[in-house]
Amino acid sequence: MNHMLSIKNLHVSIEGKEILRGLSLEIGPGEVHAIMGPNGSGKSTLASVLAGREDYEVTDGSITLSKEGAATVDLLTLAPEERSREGLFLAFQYPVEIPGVSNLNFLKAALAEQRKHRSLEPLTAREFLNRVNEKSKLVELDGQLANRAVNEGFSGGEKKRNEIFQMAMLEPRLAILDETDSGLDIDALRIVASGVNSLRSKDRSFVVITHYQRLLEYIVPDFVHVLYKGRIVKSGGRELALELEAKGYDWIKEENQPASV
Amino acid sequence: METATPVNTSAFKEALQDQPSALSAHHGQQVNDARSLAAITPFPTTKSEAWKYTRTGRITNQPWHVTPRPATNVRIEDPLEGLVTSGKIVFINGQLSSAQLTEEAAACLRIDTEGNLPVRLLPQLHGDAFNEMHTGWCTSVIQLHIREGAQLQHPVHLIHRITGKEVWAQPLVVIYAGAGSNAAFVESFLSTSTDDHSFTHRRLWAELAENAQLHLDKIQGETGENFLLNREQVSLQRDARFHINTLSLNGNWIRNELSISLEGPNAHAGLNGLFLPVQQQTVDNHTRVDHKAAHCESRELYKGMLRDQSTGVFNGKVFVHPDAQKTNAYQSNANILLSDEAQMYTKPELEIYADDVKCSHGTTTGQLDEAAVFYLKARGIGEENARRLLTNAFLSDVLEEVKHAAVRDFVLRDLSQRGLLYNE
Repeated sequence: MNHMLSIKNLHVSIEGKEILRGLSLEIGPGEVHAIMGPNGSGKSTLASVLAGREDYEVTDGSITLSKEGAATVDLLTLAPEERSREGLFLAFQYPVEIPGVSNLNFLKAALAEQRKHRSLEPLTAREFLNRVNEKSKLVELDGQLANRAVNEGFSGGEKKRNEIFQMAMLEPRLAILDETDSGLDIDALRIVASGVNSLRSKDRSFVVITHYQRLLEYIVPDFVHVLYKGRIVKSGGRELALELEAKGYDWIKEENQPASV
Repeated sequence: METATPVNTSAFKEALQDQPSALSAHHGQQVNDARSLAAITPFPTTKSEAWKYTRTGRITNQPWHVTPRPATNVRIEDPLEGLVTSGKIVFINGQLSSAQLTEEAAACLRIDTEGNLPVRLLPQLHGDAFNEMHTGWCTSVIQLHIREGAQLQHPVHLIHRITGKEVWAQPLVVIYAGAGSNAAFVESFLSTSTDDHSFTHRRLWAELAENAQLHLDKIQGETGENFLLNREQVSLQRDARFHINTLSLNGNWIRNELSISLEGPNAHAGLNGLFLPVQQQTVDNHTRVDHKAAHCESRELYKGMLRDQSTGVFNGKVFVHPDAQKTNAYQSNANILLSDEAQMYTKPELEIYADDVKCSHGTTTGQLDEAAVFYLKARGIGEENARRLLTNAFLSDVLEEVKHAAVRDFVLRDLSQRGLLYNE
């Protein structure tokens, strides 16, 4: 079976400081993987590197993404926009406000380029608006996007819901949620999670990066990984998240003390 | 004497000595005074605060001359073809060439080319060396009287055209907007020959009576070695509304000086500007808004996008006089530098002498937001399209207030053809 995403021995530095130190991870189609870990363990770095942020330097290792059909592509050779067109989606931890660019124009432009890449006809205005109406309902943003600029003046919860709405519009094959739960109250969390759950399918994989177990009560993962000091130090099923919730991260840290010389 | 030759004896003042002024017939004394003052008043230099970043040397050392009066009704190409107008007034090299109004407009608007100014306006003739030069060697005067209550359906287009070398063009336009009238003007400086070489000092005075509305879209886009100085003085009585868009698209050297005086309660002034200099071009915007009466509002928004080695200046002053309670004044200047060598000097100023007012001002200068570029790319939008979306977004709020679609289309077309903006 082809993996959706295959990360092997990934080493990543920023400004000479190594953040990821030999991370390996394989994600199959339709799987939901949660990545947990204490602050500073490299969770957001992983998300940024997958999306193609340029501040990071990959010093070793490989990332392979499956394309539609049987082929695969070396993700690290692709520009951020090409990764997106190949079906990768990052839900930002801090969505960017873009004054002057309307939500709808932004999505229209994005969809047009995505569809062009896949040799699909652009959507008609009616098809586009129908899709906006349908998908914005998923995160209870219907009717609230038309006249607003991208994320401008949105509350924290609205921004995160807008990320999930964009995901629904673009229909990626691999979605990475970078701390999508941070800063959300329980109602917003529920809305975001139900939006995500409605998009789960056998062809769509998720990487859910989170600091807290709470999100995983709503988005139930198939696998849970613990990231510590730039490496996955423990993997398990859903019960691992509960164990972390009960015991905190300290026991992970103790288990992974460098051997004293 | 060994000291530097005083600028007042520079080549072009001598060259102009024998040239007439369009004001001579009715205001001979003022013209003579202005010429005497011009002879002893030095041109402003970068030593004075108001001219700190804009050099005048390339203007003051040229042998300018007044060109002969052009044949009337010369056919010229209209750069704003799609614009439906109430009339066209054409200046060639600063000389009035033709003034044609539709029948409808002629009933609303009286044109006077006599050069006989009302006494109350005469003090405005004088000021710094540029004003003395303007009065002393004014090339034409046109006074436009908009009748009380007149509603002009379409804008009147003032067309300024330069042709030739060493051209000295100094027209004066006076607009009297009668009480309750409503009119719009488009003014274009769009000479497109790269061989042109000129200095244009266009003065415009507007008086808005009670409840009058006046809108002016000004387009500056010359390609030759032209120097363009525009000075506008506008006064507003009770309930009057004035809006000006200063669109500086292209030009070797441009300086706009806008002075607005809110003299009656509940008057409203809107000042917007857009400037996109390239190469070694300079665009200098100086504005002053005087709030002299209570309950007035002024809104000012200038946006600059600078490339190459260009220079931009914004100096905006809002002056709230002691009686101007309940003033609402808003001023903003935002700039994007698209090159390491471009320079922007910006100075918003507020002076407030009333105690119950709402005033804000702010300025930002930076690059395109790279976080936003990445965000757009992460959704599949290519690098170039991402930058184009952001560029257009930056300029959109100024462009939205350009009243006439034909003017807006012209601006978008001109900027996109020159690669300064991307068309959807």
